[in-house]
Amino acid sequence: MKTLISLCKSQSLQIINPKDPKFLKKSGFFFVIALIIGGYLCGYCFFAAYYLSKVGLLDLLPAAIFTIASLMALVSSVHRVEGTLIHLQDDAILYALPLSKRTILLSRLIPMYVETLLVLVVIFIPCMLAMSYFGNIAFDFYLRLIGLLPFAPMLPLALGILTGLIIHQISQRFRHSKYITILLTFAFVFIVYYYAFQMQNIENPTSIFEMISQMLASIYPLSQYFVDFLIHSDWIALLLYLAVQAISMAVIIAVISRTQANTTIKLTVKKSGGLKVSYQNSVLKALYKKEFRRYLSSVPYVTNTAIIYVLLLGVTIYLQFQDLDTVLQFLEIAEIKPMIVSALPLMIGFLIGSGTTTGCSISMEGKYFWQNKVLPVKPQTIFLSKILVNLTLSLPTLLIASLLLSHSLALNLQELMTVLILPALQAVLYSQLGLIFNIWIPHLSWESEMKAVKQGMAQMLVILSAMAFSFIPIGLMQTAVLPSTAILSVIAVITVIGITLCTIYLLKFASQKFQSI
Amino acid sequence: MLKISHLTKQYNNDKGIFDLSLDIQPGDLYAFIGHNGAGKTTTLKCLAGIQPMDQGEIMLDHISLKNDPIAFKKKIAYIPDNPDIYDFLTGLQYLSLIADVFEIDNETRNKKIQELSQLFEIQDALDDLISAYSHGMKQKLVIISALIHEPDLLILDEPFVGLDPSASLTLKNIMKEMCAKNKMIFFSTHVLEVAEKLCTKVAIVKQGHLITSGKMEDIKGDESLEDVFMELTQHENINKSM
Repeated sequence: MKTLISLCKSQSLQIINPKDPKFLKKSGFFFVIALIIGGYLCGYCFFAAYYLSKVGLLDLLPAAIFTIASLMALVSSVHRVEGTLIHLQDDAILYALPLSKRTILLSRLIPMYVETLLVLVVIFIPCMLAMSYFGNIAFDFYLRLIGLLPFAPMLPLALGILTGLIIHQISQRFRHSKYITILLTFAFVFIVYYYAFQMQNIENPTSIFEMISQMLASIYPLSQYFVDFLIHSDWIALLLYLAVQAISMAVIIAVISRTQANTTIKLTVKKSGGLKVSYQNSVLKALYKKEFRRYLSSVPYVTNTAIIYVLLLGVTIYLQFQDLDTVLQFLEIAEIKPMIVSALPLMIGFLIGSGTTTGCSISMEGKYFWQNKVLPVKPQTIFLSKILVNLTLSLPTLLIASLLLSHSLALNLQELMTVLILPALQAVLYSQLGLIFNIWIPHLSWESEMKAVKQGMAQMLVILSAMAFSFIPIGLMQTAVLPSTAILSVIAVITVIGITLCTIYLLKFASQKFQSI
Repeated sequence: MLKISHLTKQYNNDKGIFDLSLDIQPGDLYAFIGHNGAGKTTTLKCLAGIQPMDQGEIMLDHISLKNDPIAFKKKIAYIPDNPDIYDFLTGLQYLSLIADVFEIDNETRNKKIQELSQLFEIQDALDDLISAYSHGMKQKLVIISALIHEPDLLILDEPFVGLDPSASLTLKNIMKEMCAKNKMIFFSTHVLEVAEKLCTKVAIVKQGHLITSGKMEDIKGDESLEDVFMELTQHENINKSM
């Protein structure tokens, strides 16, 4: 047990260490980012609670938050299997020590559980605040919620890890195992979201409350037990909820204890038929190719960024086969369609920003970073290669998504151009911002690529910037103080100014900062 | 000629290198020796442009590292003590990247890659991902990548660690050949016998300060380099304790 605690401690020290000279700076950043995220979540929950309370559906908020948070936990735990649970750089050190495989794997599972729980708590706090503000909620409701939450991550984590392990086992049978992992992970995420979008098993709903309850339960059956105990104090529901969560955790601990430790690098040596001729490229092209290969070589890097683009394309394809007008009319919110069309460029801009690859592109260099300094290459060329990789992913996605959306939403030419051009400009801005943030806050001494991608403050800052650039104007559109076209024009002007300033910074000032990393 | 003038680089823990001045002439094979933490790697990293220096100047054939780092780096190659290279590339992809960056034409790069990979016996592994390479193979690949553009100055940090005897001998021969062609080599090592047999000049550092430097035969006289090194470093200790 002592060993397990020590190992867990060492895992957490990799994230934040009080003896790190940058401890205060890092803690400050974490605090500020937590405040900003908390602020966003509060805004979202209060917004949702306001509308739900108006139609008497406030009780649905915890169930909806629980379902969404569980789905997110499921998907993110699939990503984290490779990089956190297996294939860590310290495998070679830990497996050489007199430690059981079970202890090592548990020391990685427990931080995953704690991290997921913390995320759930952070998500639920604004929900509780919003409910207490808009509803007449009894004190024992909060006690029941606090009692339910520690068990909430167990099933999503167990299912996610199991899926991740299966994907890992399958992909290891192929030479290009990383590409197979990426493909299978995308397929899994796609299936989960496709399933979540389907309104299946909804039989003769008598009210919107019942319909949404059934919908949530069909997406995630445990949400029914969660709500039954939380709202109706159904103790049998509680027992079922606890049993499913605890059993799933016990099963996954048993499974990972029996998983073959992967301590050696799989040597998939291709028989070479002599040297291939290597053709000369320009410096930029060579660096771009290197950067793209680096991107594709990392499963966490791809799955945490490209997944946004895949989902964007998935939703736009899905919408081709759905009659949006009918759905909106059924939900009695047909009048919001013009608002959806107005906000579309901003929503797409947010998604494009969330998938930015440059926010961790410097951090991902890790121990290889020294080569950037030794080679006779201008830092600006390195910057451009990283930005181009991001645009290679985002711009074609944007083009396809815009064309598909113009069909499904029957956009006119002006609307189509806005949906296409504004997010394209934002894609450029976010790739520059991501790079600048990462030059300011690099994290090169990571143990696992997952830590560079998921826990990088630069990546978080670029996502927060994308949120600010999208949600604040959408909020302003709601207030109807200014016409939507005026708001979009102002955002476009700000984006162009931002691109200009970032370009100047990257060309004139960023080199010095880059050299001092 | 490489001219290091008053190079200073200090870390937060007060370690580093202080006021180092050294000249390396064409044809010099210069050993840089000292205890662990004496400042050898820091000096080499400053020379390679990895660590920015606090004070001083480094000039190579009148090109300043500070003022024109790109032109400076085009004339040098650096081999680190730990071959952390892009392991998501194959050996050949890595060498092509380096050749592209140094703008080497197709004919020259192919000739050099063929020749050097055969010399270091890794031609059959060039199509494999570097992540599948052993430490020694990675080290060989770094050496090949450093030689591919025929640098005027080769900077090596503990180059023989991890190399098999055959590769070690090949590297020594290449180093000698380079010096015969008036190139410069500056390398750190803990293996004093190698430095003694191979090098024409030597510099000894202790706790960030240069103790002595010059021609090998002038420094060691009739003694072995090991004896001289121990004597000099202990003498410094005695001076400090007094």
